[in-house]
Amino acid sequence: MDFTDTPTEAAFRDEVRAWLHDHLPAGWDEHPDPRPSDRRQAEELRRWWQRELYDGGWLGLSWPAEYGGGGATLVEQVIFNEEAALVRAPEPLNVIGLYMAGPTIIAWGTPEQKARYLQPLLSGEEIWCQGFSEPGSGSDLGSLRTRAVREGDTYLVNGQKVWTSYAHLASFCILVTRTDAGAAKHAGLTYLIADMHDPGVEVRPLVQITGDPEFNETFFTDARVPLENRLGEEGDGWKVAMTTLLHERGTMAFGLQVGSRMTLDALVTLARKLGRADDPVVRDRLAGFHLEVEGLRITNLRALAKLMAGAPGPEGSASKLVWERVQQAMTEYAIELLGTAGQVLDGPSAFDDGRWQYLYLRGRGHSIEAGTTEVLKNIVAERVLGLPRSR
Amino acid sequence: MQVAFSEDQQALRAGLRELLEDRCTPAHVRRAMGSATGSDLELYRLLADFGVTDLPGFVEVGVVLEECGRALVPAPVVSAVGICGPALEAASPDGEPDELLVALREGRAIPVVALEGEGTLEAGRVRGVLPLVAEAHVATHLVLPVIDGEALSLVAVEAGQAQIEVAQTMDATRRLSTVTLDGAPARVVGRPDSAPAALGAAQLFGAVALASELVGVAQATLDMAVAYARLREQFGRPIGSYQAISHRCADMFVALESARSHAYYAAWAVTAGAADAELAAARAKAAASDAAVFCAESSIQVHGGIGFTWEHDAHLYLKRARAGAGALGTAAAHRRRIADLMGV
Repeated sequence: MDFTDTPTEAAFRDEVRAWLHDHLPAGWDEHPDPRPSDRRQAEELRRWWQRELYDGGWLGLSWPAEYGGGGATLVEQVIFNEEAALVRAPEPLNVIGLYMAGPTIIAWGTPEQKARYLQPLLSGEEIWCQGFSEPGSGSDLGSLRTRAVREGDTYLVNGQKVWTSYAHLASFCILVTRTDAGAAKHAGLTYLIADMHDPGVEVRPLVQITGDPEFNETFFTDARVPLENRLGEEGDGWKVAMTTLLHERGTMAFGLQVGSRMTLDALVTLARKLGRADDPVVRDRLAGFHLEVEGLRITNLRALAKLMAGAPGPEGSASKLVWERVQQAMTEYAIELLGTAGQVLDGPSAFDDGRWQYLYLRGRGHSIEAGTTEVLKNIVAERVLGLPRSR
Repeated sequence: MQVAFSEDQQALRAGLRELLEDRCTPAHVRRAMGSATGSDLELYRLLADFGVTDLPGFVEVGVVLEECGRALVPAPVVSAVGICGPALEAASPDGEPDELLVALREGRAIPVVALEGEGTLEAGRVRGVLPLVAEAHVATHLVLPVIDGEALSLVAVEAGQAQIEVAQTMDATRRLSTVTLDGAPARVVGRPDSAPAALGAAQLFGAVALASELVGVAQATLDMAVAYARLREQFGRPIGSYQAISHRCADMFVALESARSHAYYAAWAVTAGAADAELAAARAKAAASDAAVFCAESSIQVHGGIGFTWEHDAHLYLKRARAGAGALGTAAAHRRRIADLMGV
């Protein structure tokens, strides 16, 4: 147990720090949360930043070099993440690609699939989205009904997916379909890579409680997916999807924790602005948030040891539980501190351009997306603790 | 960066666990609990022979204390090795180690440090009343802060020279005493000006020591709760298949893992003298105090009526959790410190 950098790691850290300093906009890290509030502006910033990162060779840092990755160690990946967090660097745009589709393709893809998809996924030229949930299949993912019927060397896909973030920007979708209606629930599924520009794919924005259409409904009507776009064998869909979900809750947690640190810094600044930073009750709450956010950082570091030995474990579900709780709690507390002004979105009485109201409302989704609180607790209970199945 | 325990550290944990599984079962803990002192000094000697009093660094102390917590070791390892040891080390930072530190390492002495109040020193003799000294009644030496003229000093007194009034305590295996000194001969420990640093070290390292022990306590209670929830049936099914039970167990795991992360990081940070060592120690103690109490209380709830009985071991863990959570600053006190250090 030694969190000290080796000389090689220290040199790498210096290199990262210098690069970030040279490439982020001037004065970027002076604001506690420099992310733009406007969704389109934020998307464009993140697209630009992904390209910068890619050109600098920082994306897919720990992926094998043959797939366009940096061939770096996981520790170096972590050092990069830490330094990026310290200067509050934006998140790259293609998170579904980088943290979910990419690792799944590396684990299950054919050499041709790896050669085709990984490089433009890293550069952000091709954005990815995730077609898992359906109107009738939320937590019970295995009950999904989107059909894929094989016709020659093509699958014809019909059905509806929902909560597809980035679908309006995406080139490809990691899509779980039912290919065998007669097989047992989880055995009849097949994992496909669908072209979002196919004429049979329609994306309709879905407005959230924030008023923002951050995600979509995606309709597949005789959409064509070539056979060569299948990940794994027909009927392997559930196993391939589990790889994606473990990465969603494990690998992605590194990125999420960065956002939590920014939220905490901004909350401390807000408490000061409101003249509440000396109130012992307020200080106690802020310290409690710091405790959780930092705990998440260290737990993620500890998870590294497991990642080095292979795929992320089910313990990633515990990190996601902590993240959603602290992220919600911080934004709830901001609204509480604001009192009456907690309603105001613009004008002279507004604080931080209505960002807290957005984060608060958006936060209600954190305990639903990527596995509800209840599903994640089931996973911890059954897969980590070995308790009997709850159904 | 090596975010895992070394092979030596893993071997230390495995060897100690084996020793404790044989020599510190709940039956042993209960025997100690029912004894006059509440403490098992023969076990302490075995542990000293095993090497727990002379470890290479504080990460190893953390490993040892986590295992001690898991087994509810009823001997003054935390007080002597985890809290007093660092104070004695800080008292002579660059000179010869103090003779009492050498004796502690060699297993010849069990020193404990008083952390509430102070005595007065005059002509080599100490007077005063110091409350709430943990495990003073089984110590060989008491290390005490004293006012020496104007300055604060640290002195060592042979336990036999002090009047020690032992209180009955909720955790009967970690007694607290009022120590009264009426002119006992005292020896100044370490460099004359080192007392503030030594007491600071007792607080800093002691917080991490207790956090490590509390992580072990929490782990044991989670293991017990899960084992019981798998076996115990009601309404025709194991109670662990009900989400009301299984989700509480998941909550215990989440609290424990967070506390574990803080404790491991803090043990490294205080060893390495990291810039955030003090903040890390405060986080570790705050997280572990809350997690251990939550887990120990939850374990009793999961066990239902049997968990509320004297004959069941669940209460032993709750009492140890409370002993650790209350000592060297509660979770709330450490959160106050965190707010100061994080720059609110």
